[in-house]
Parts: sequence; C-alpha cells; structure tokens
Amino acid sequence: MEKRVVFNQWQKATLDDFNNLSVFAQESIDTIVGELLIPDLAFSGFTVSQTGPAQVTVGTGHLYYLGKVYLNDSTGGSVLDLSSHLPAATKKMVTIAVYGTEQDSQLEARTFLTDANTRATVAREVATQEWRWANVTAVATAPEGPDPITPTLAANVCPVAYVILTPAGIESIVRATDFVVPTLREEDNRLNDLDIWKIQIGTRLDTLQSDLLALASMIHGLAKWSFVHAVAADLARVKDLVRIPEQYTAWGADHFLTDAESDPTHADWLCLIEEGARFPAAAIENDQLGLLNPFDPLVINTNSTVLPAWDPIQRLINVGSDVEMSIAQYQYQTTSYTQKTMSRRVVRYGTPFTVCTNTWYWDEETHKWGPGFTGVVDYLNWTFIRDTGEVYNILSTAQNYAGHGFYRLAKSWVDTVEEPYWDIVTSTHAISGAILSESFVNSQDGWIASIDVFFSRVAASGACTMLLCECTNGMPDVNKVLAQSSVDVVDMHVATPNNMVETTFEFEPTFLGRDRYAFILITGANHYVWALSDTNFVAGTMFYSTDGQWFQGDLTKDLAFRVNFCQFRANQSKVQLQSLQLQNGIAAIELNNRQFVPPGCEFSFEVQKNGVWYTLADASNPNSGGGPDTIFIGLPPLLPLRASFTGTKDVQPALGVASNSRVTTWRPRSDFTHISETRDAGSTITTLTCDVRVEAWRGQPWGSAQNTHTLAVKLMSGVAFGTLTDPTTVSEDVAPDDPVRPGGAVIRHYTWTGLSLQQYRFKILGTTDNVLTTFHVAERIDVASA
Amino acid sequence: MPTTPVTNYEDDAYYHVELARPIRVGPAWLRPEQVHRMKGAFVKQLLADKVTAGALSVTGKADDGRPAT
Repeated sequence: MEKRVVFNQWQKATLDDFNNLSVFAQESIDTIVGELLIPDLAFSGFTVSQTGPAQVTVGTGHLYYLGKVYLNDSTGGSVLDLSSHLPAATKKMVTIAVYGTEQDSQLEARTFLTDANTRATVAREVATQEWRWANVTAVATAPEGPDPITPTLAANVCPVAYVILTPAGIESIVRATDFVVPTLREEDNRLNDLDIWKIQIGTRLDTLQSDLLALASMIHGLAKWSFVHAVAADLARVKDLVRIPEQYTAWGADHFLTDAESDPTHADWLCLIEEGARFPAAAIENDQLGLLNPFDPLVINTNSTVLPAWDPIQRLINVGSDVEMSIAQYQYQTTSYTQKTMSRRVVRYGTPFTVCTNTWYWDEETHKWGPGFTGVVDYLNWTFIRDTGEVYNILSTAQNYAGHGFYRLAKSWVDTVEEPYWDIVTSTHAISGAILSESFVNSQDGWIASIDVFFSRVAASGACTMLLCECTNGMPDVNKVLAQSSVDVVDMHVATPNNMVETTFEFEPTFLGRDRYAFILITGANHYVWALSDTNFVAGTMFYSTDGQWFQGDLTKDLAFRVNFCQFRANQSKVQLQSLQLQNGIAAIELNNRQFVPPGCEFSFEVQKNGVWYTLADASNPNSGGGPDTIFIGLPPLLPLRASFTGTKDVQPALGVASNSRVTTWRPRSDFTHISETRDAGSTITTLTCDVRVEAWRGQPWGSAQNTHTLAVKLMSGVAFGTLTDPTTVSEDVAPDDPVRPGGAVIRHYTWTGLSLQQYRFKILGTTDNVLTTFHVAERIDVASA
Repeated sequence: MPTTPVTNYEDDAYYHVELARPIRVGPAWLRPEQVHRMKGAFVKQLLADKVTAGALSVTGKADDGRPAT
C-alpha cells in the first residue's frame, strides 16, 4: 500500500481516518491490478448457459476494467430472456456483456449520535458497504441476417459470450475467450511448455546464425538459374551437333589409345593399338644397338656410353696442402645410395607411324575408357597413372612438358627426356666406411671424366670409393648419385706439399649441367687427404656424415681436389653402327636407347639407301599421310646405320650401346582385324549407327587410282557373337579438319536397321595393297536406338 | 544422276546411291554431300516409300568397301 492510516494513543479519529482504512487498501489493489495485471478490459467467470429456448443464465464472475474489479455474485446467476431479440426470419447475434458500476449496498440501521452533551442518539438506515457491481446485459444492436455480425460495444463494456438466435430460439453460445482474464496457473503451464520447447528446439536455434552464414557462403558460389539454363541450352546444342538422337539407348566411343575397349584375346584379333587401331607387325627383329667397329677412333666407348673422341682437361682446381684430414676420424657407417641412370630417347620412323588425332584425348584430368582403365593424369610429369600402377606417357603432336618432350611428325616419332639422368630407372647400392665429402659448383655444361684428390697418407690396405652426386639444399644427396668410382690402395699416390701427386677417380663420362654437385669419399681404411683451411673456395663446402644420410658442413676447411672434364676433338662426328636388317624387308624402325642430347647439340640416326645417307626425321620425307617412304621403297632387307654427333669441344651428345639400347625393325601386315569389347545396350535395340574416323586414308571415295585401302565394319551378334551382319547403309564424309586427298581423313557412317538384339560387338577389317602405305582408325562412336 | 538404270535389286548387294535431299535412316540423317552405298533390300524400301523415293537415285552396283571375311 502506498498510504497507511496511523492512529496514536489517546487520539481522536475522524470519519476520513476510518474511511481511509479501506480506501487506501482499495487504491493499492486497483494500482496492482491496473498497472501490473489487467490494464484494460477482461473478465473471469460469467459462464453462460442456456436455460430455456430463448433464455440464458449467466453465472457469477468478475469484471476487470482499468484496474478496478467488479463483482457479480447473484445467487443462481443472472437470468436473461432473449425472446425480444429473436429474429423474424434469419439469424441474429446477441452479445452477453458486463459493465461495472459503483453502488451502495447492504442498507442497515445504524445509531447516530445527535447530541454530544446528552449523548442522545437516533437510528437511521444507511448503506453499510459500497460495491463495485458487474451488471449483466444482452446487447443486440446488429440487424438480423444469414451471417449476423457482432454488435458494437462501448469501451467499458466487456463481452462474455456471443449468442446466435434463430426464430426458434438459441442456436449456439460462444464464449468470448479473447476477454477471459488469464490466471497465473495458466501462464505457468504455458511457460512450462515453452521451457520444454526451448530445450528441444532452442539448441538448434542457437546455431541458426552459423547455419545461415554457412548457407549464405554456399549460395554465394552457386550459379544463377539463368546461367544454368544457358549452359543446359548449350549442352543440348552440342548433343545435337554430335548427332546423339533423342531416343538413343546406348552409346560409346573408343579412341584406341588403349585396348581397354577392345578384345585382344579374341581369336580373330589381329591389330596393333598405338594411338589408333593400326596394322600389326608381320615380322619383327630386335637387336642391340652397337658400334660397327668397337675400336672406331672417332668415338670413345666407356662402359657402353659412346661419346665423340675426347681428351681430359682440368676445369675446376682447388689444390693445396694446409692440413691433413683423416677420413677414418669420422664414424664408420653404411651408406645406401641410389644411382640414377642416363635418360632414354625413342625414335620411331616409318609409314606405320602416321600421326593420330586422338592423342589429345589424353589431356583430361581423369579418364574412364571402359572398365579397368581408370587413373589420374600427372601434369607435372605429363603421364597417365593407371589405377593398377602402370604409367603411360601422354603423347601429342608437339608437346613439351616438365622436361619430357614428344614430337609427332608425319612418320617420325621422337620421345625424349630433357633431364640427363632420371630416377625412373635407378639402382640401389650400399657401401660401408667413413665419409668425407666436398661440394662444388659447376658453372658450365660438360661431361665430367674424372676427379683428382690428394692423399697425404695411405694405409696399408683398403680401397677408397668416390660417389659423384647431386646436391639437395646445398648438401650432398646420396639418393641422387650420378656415377661412382673406386681406387685400390695400390693405385693411390702419396702427395707431399712439394710434390702434389694426384690420385684419379675415373668415371664413365657423366653430364653435369650448371648446378651444385658433390663428391663423397667412402673408405674403411685409415687414409688421410690434404685439405685447405680458411680458403676462399666459396663455391663449395666440406661435409662429413654420421649416419649415411645427413651431412654436416665444416666451413673452415675444403678438400684439395681437381675436376677433369672431356674436351672433344671434333665438333661433328659420324660413327657407323651395326646395320639394320629384317628378312623380306624393313618398313619401320624403332630405336629405343640410352641417350642424352645437351642443349645446343644435335644427334640423329642416319640410314643409307642406294649410297645416300638419309636422316631418320620427317624433313627428308615431307609427304605426310602415309605415302610410300623414300627410304623404305622396295622394302630393303638391310640398311646401314650410323649415328651423327654434333656439338662443341665442351659438350656433345652421348649414345648408350649397352644391352638395354635396342633397335627394332619391323614390317606391318597388309590387313588388320579389330574386335571391340562387348557392347550392351541394356535393352533390345532396332537401329545402330557407328561412325568411324579413318586417317591417312587412301581408299574410296578418291577413285580407283588411289584405291589402295579398304575398310569394313561388321556387326557381331548372336551366340558367341558368331553372326556377322553387314551394315544397311554406308555413308562417307571427308573430315573437314583433314581433307587432304589422298592421305587425309574420312568419317564413315555405318547404319544397321531392323535389328532385334541387345549385346553386340564391332569387327573392323582393313586392308592395304602396300605395307608402305598404311592407315589407322582414330575413333569409333556408336549409338544404339530402340 | 543414274548412269546405269537398275531395275532388279539384289537384297544383299550394295548399290551406289545419290541423294537429292537429306533422308533419315533410323536416328541418323544421310546428306547429299556424302558418298552412299546401300543394300539392295533397303534401296527397295526407300523407293517404295513416297517420302524418300524422290530423293533417291541409284547409280550402279558397289562393293561394300571391305575386305571379305
């Protein structure tokens, strides 16, 4: 209560004092109700029930208006007769409403003092209580109608029920729930329900902002529908251009890069798959590449590596005798090292090597050329790594990627690796002993011949091994060894400060580019070498190792050493090799050998025909498209072969003539048969089309004079695919990208109609009347229709 | 234009065919600029069809462009 009446001892109280006892309490309750609970209009109780055809009885209840609480507790309820409101024909709505009034109540006789001196009194009947009374009434101001509306009420009148009347009486009574005062129990139940809902749902809402953010970021990268629609439209145009019909049931394509979509196990198979379906070999001879004269003075053969004749020349010198270094003072350890080998070069020459346009199909990130041929393209090395682990070089008309070069000319294919030594083919060795190493920078390309070191003391026994290796992060790398050499103790010389006699470690001539290299001395004997202390040999560092792998540098010393390179006697050398031969004639040559051609140098193979030397390159035979080759006309069974080295006195090409340098001569057959894998349309088909692209073509439609090639495609079906069906129609287009006549490309369209089959194969048959003019099938696309 | 009128078509023999306008065979369209060879039985079908008959002129027998199997 905001106000309170205070009485004091012996105080006379006034009438207002007594009245204020209840007035202050009422005002406080009004404030609580009006400002905290029900500030406007509401009711509780006042249940309306029908007690006659047109009579309702309203139960007791309370009305709340502007904080004041009004009561109606009439015994037996308030009876309202609605007969006067009954509609004449349709319906009428009567609102049972309550409104509050303040009225005196409980009239009772009370004694009043009339004379204070005589204490005389008089009795009067007065209201002893003041009530806030809730009056119940029925309001029916709206006219009748089939859809009666609620009558309008004054602001201080609260509806408690809506009664719809018909001419026969009351039709329905609907409580005015919008005005029912809520109780704390009801609100508590609602809050309890909210708590349960919050527990169940709230945690999800807590992360809703993050979810929205994630969704927003995802949506950010999505294409607009208009863009997707445009792409889909373009795709539809592409499908139309490639002639895939709407009712197709199966389709497939084979570019003959691999045999993944062929059946080389079929009994009728007679085909070579190498960038196209080609004529297979009728005869092959494979020999080791070798010098015709092993003692040819024009070249020096060191461990089967042939270089033009050379003499050693000192190119890098760091000689001195400041301190002795005992190699054995460092840990005795076992070093495993990996020796790289000279990279290879493949030269293929001849009319069977017509260029196929399908090579560009290698250039995709992943491929699936049918079951069993999946993998990933390694762009760094330009290879295709099949899931099975096989590695394929990706070939193209003229490509050069990451050191691997491929050239596809009319009849000459050259595959090279520009790294002089590669780790595709390696050999791993282990050697035991203490280790001492020195790095050096090679600033000029050249072939290293030997390294001289200077022993100050030589033990009674124990050889010394030297490894020549590349450096990784400036340190010697035993996993990149290029060459190795050993010297027995009897060949070691003791050098004194006055007589610096070298001990030479000779290598198979090894190409060093402009890079940092190192040599590593490994020995189990107590040998000492001369070293220079605090020198200005800034190009290298002395290293020792404790575990065969990790090298520790010593910046205060450098080993005394001398590097000798090859100096070639002539700029150009031609050396004759073993002649090429093949019974009944050579039509193609394939040379696969160890070889490295430094920048600025040239190397080529040459063959002699009728006394004239021809280079195995495209230049001598500009006739592209599979025309007869000058060299092979007449199918010579024997062709003298020579190697041509061109370079400078410092660098020259090298040629390997060991057993892994091979030369293959071969001659294709005059026919081929290609069998496709089984094609399954998935359901019965009636029509089949098959488009075949043929390149280096010299057959129809270019007249009988050029009619040296034939090609047919037959459909295999039935039991064991034993039924051969010729096409219903055969149509031919000149390929627009290669319309050369003859020797260009044609696209043949085969159509079979009236079929009823599901599984089938294609049999492609080709012939040539001259094995020096061959063609190849570059692509097959087939579409089946129901 | 026909150089040798053909009257009796052998069902399994091939014939050179020239087209005056594209015709549709199955899902594929055959076009006049292409070189066509068709089996005799199919040529008879095309000639019997009033839609395609006018587009067709047979110039003579052909091989199937094959080696025989």
